[in-house]
Amino acid sequence: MPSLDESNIFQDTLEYFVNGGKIKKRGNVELSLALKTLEDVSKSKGLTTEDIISLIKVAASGYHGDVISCKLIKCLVPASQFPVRAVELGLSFMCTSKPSNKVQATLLRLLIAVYDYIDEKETVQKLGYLLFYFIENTVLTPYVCHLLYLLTRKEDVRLYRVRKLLELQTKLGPQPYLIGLLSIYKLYFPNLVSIVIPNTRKQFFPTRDRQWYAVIKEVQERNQAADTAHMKSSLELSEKLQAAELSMLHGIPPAKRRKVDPIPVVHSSSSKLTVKLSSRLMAMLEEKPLPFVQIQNIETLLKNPDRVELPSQMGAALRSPLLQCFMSYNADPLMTSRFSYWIQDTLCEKLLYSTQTPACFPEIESILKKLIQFTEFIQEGIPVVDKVLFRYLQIWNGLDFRQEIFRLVSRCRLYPFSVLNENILEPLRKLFVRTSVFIKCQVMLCLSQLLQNYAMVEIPRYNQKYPEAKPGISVFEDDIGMFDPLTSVIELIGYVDRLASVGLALENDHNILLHFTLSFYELVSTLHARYGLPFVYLPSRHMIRALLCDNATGPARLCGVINSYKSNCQMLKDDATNNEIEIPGYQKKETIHSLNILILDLCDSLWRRKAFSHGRNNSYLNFDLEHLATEASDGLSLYLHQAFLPFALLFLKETQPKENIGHPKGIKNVRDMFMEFLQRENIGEIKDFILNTITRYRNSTSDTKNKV
Amino acid sequence: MSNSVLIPYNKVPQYQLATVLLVGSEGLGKHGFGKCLIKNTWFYLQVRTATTLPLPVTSDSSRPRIDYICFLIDLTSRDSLKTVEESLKHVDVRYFLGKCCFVALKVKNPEKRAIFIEQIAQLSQQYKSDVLYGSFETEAESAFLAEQILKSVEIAAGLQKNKSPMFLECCRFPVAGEESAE
Repeated sequence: MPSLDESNIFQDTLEYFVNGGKIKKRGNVELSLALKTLEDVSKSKGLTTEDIISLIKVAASGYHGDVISCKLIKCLVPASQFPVRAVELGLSFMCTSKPSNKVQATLLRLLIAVYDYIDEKETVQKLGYLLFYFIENTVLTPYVCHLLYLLTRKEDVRLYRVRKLLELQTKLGPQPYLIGLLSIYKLYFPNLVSIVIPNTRKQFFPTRDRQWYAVIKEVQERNQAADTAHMKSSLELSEKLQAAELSMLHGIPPAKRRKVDPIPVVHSSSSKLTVKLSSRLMAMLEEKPLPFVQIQNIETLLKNPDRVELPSQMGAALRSPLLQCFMSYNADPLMTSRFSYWIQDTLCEKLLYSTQTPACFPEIESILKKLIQFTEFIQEGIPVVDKVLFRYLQIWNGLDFRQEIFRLVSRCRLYPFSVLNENILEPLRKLFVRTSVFIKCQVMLCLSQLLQNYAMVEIPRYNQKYPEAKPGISVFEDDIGMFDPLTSVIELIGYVDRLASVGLALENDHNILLHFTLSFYELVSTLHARYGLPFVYLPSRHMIRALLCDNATGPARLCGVINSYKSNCQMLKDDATNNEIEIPGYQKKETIHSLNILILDLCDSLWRRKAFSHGRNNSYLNFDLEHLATEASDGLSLYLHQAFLPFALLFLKETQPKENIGHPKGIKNVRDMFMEFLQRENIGEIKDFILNTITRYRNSTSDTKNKV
Repeated sequence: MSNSVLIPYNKVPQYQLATVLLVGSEGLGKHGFGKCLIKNTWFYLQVRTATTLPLPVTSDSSRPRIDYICFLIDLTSRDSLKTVEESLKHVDVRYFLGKCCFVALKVKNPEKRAIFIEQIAQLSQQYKSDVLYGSFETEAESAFLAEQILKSVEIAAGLQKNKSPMFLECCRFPVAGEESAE
């Protein structure tokens, strides 16, 4: 049997390294064969716990010399879990003088790479701070900092460690890894770390071993698919918590999928404090922390908000609704920045830095979907996600994850218009002018939602932020400076307006796009009434296109929008408090003036039968009368308009004798009845508009009602 | 000198026909993409390919008017960018009013990338032309890229009533870098 042979060869190889005595290096065929076998096995199946433990003893001791030791360490790919015993052995060998610096560094890199797969993180967290003694070793510092960043608990932060780090920083200059570790200290105890952590969120620990990570992940995934029986041992934690509702609450996925999914599971060491704490630290900690995994339901959470020990990986928030509740309720900067770091790292890795194959699309899509769910839940965008999105949009092909990207864009934070234009609007414009009408509609919808998000959530948040400087208005703090948010919003509206006019011209007034545009105007018209923004923005003149459309909903919705504009302008005028606010680039008087012209135009064409013969020269429908027959002025009236002709015909069929239904022109004298008819056909906006604007008509109808 | 420069308006257009020129170094899959363009088109389209400009001098009548130029750049090869930069010198300035675009390929392989995205962005800013990112790896991506290019070609060739490439530019708002460069 070949498999038996293979395993025999592998056992021999292990023997060779573990018990083989000194190995000659140069020209040793046996050695290179053994290394090859080991590499193949570890890359294909991964090593079992026992093998890892026996190999790490040899490798970490540096018994066979640097080169072989490093190669051996690189082969320690766990088949399922990385045994905590191996970590213990590795750490203890590190503290002896046996291994060289190079081997120590490789060991640390191994620990960082397999950190997610270590079975009892508790022990690692306890032992990990031994590594602090290596912090001055220049070769090891970056790796030590990274590993400590991963495993630091609140009780690990001590004053002397902070001092040491600061000392190092003055010696080495502001290295990102030192700042990274200090930032997590500062989050736990801002009073101990007095330096300013720069706000520009760079990656503290750029990954150098991407290929290694990939191999480990691949092996894990393959083993996952191969046998689930293997998993059982590793799932002790969740078996303890088998209660179905709990796993629902923490959103733990079925065991099969767990490791494949990049979003971590809620996990924290159920630690009892074994470290003797100084009285001062005791006072800070007050009580024994309550690990998050032990929280069963929302009541427990609400009873102990101060004692909760956060899970080791905040990324679990995307999975656990309970943790989401906690985050939005607590808005703790420690939590949010840990989450931000994780999400930025994950998204950068998935979207920007690694090769995307169709195979990894479902995974990225699921992360994005969960992220969208989360942002919907906390009702705000996450600044670091915006930053990644900005970069991704520049190189986006317009096809991948389009829906998710649009959803994330619509949740974007408030930025000055120039930033918004460069990073979001320009890529979208590129897409908009080159694609079919359906994608144009998606872009319009996305920008409308962005505007709504600004009006509803972001502007109130911004206004709260500055005058009173209240902390904790949002879960995720951003670092955007002062700017005028209203100007930004007005410029955005202007931009979308221009985009819509170009789009409509390109698509020859396609009905669907027209309706998306009208929805956008509907939103813009209600900005004052619904969201209290102190302006009414009137779109450019191309809006009149909707009147000329051959579908009755076009003119009808236009009337509705104008109605809404009219009432909003009225409200704005009456609202005295807003009159003092000056917004650069916005003229209120002109807006009202052109709105009046638009209203007059609509009345003239729909009701007064003088669409072109009104004699005003600033009208939207300005034609040279010489080129128009006199009858043409009637052409856009309610009963002769191309869009309403079918209704006129229906109306005539209903009211007139069958033999001679007459010409639609005959409706001229019974226009109000025709309007009632239109209302019955669900085109009520026209009636509202006429009622609102033509006083004589309003008076006459109210008179007749009074008489009745 | 004047012979080597490609001019957009020196020839009479052919009735209802658009011509695209794909410029890019060898091995990018220009011909495959040309076929993809023709498969997805909804108007009469001619695709010509060239590895570099200027085009060889031939008797004038055999070559149609070029309505639109696509410069193909492979992000994993520095030479492809150099070829395009060399070729750009032989293009009339009027092409840059919406009658050409850059296509950056293999954007999804960041490990192998030899050209910085910033370089591409700078190129696009210098020539005021858009960059389309994508790849020819899957059918869907090629088709989507083809669709985007065809839309621009249709307008650039004057096949759409009342629309010109400059009209599309009017919704572009100057990006900060461009303003300072002017």
